[in-house]
Amino acid sequence: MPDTAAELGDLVREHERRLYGFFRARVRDDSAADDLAQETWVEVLGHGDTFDPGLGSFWTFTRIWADFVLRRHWEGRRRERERVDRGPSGDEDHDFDAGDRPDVDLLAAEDAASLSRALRHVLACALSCPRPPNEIIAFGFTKLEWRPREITMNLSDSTLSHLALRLERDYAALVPDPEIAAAFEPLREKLEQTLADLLSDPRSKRAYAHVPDGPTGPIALEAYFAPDANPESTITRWWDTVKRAVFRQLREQGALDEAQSGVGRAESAGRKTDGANP
Amino acid sequence: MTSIEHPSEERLLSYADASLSEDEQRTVEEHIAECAECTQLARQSLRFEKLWGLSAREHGDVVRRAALEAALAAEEARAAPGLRERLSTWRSRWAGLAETAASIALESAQKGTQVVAEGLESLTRPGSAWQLAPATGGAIRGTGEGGESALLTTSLSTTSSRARLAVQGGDAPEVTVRIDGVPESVRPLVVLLSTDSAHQVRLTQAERPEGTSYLIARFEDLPVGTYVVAVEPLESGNGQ
Repeated sequence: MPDTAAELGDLVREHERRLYGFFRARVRDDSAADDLAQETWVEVLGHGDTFDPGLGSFWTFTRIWADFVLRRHWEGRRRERERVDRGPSGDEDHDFDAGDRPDVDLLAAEDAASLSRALRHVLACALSCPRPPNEIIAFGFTKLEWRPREITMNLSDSTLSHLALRLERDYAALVPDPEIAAAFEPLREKLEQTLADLLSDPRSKRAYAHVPDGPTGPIALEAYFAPDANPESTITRWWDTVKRAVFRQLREQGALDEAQSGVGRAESAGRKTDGANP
Repeated sequence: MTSIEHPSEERLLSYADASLSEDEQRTVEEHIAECAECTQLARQSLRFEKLWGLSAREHGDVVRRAALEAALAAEEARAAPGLRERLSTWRSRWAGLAETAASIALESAQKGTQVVAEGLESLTRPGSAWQLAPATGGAIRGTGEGGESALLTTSLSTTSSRARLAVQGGDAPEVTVRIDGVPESVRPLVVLLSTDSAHQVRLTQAERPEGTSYLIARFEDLPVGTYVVAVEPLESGNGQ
């Protein structure tokens, strides 16, 4: 910890805006973010004797306490939700140790029903997103915890139709949600279409120029790999492309606002960006 | 990046998946501190990243937990007062988590019913010693006419309570939960929940057969389908 109050003040001033930004991104309103930043500084100052510059920067030390304060905040939100669930006649005085509960994080603070709906919606968006079926299937197998290497080694010579069936069957075996089957329908439809039907932008058409003509379903996965690229990297790129397409779709629907922030759907049209990506 | 130069959507997604460098993170967080528009996008990105990062197995855990919570709430609404209180405690105090739980699939097979049963650690309350897991690992499977059964059991201990789950296929499939070594006054509730479209629930209280030292909860005449069986947490005031 710094030797003088002045040095400490300098460190806090150096990081206070960033710390507020850290919380502002993670909680539902700005006043809560401000409160949590203040709580973090109290913890940091109160535990200053444990700060060792040899183990990490002052910011790293501050982040450890910020994570602690954030987890405490989410646990509080969950307790509050449970008190509301119990109603006025509930066991208000019941005391329990937060350590008895599972890990608390951004999603754990939500109730299982809303989380279940959100996950179903994300899956449905992914399976219907405007990308070719090979990319969507690659995403699906990563959801089943296949690594890109395992996909390329074990599934490359299988047709997309076969892989889609296997994906649906394996997903349904893990997720006992009767509505999941309907989410796979758009993927099944894509297997009967050609890439020319499915792709509209010239860049994607060029990327798949080497793929044989015809419906996508009967073509083996390996035929979609870029001829001059590592297949594992290609799987990762497909997964990432689907991810970004789904994110844009969910944002446009306002579906990511639901349980998190209550913030309205401010449109970001006309934003001047830092140009890191197109 | 200045205060009016917003990070791109791509960069905020990278911020959410923690793939930015330390300097880039700092720049983004300092920008968020001043920009309401990017705060909203960062919140969306972080929420999306969490949802996106869950595997199908974790998705299944969430679905089962939601189904069990809903089942407990539905049973609570129509239960008699004493039982209602226990169901309420189970649902709210433990967020629907059980002392022990398992998933069961009764499937049609050429020669009768195929059974697949697997312990559900994700539905088990923290601190429970009752992890239903087969000794050999993986799921228990059985197929056959006339009642071939699958059996799950906890690792045996001479000092602690233990639960066993027997799933019988055949012409009249049934699920039996046997609980050994609990005090005489304890009689936990046991829920059997269909996770198929109907989401039917059966609720019973484990009973001690006369002259025995164990508790039994039995669910008979089960149609082919998938189920979750869950035992009430022992600290919920279960009949003590």
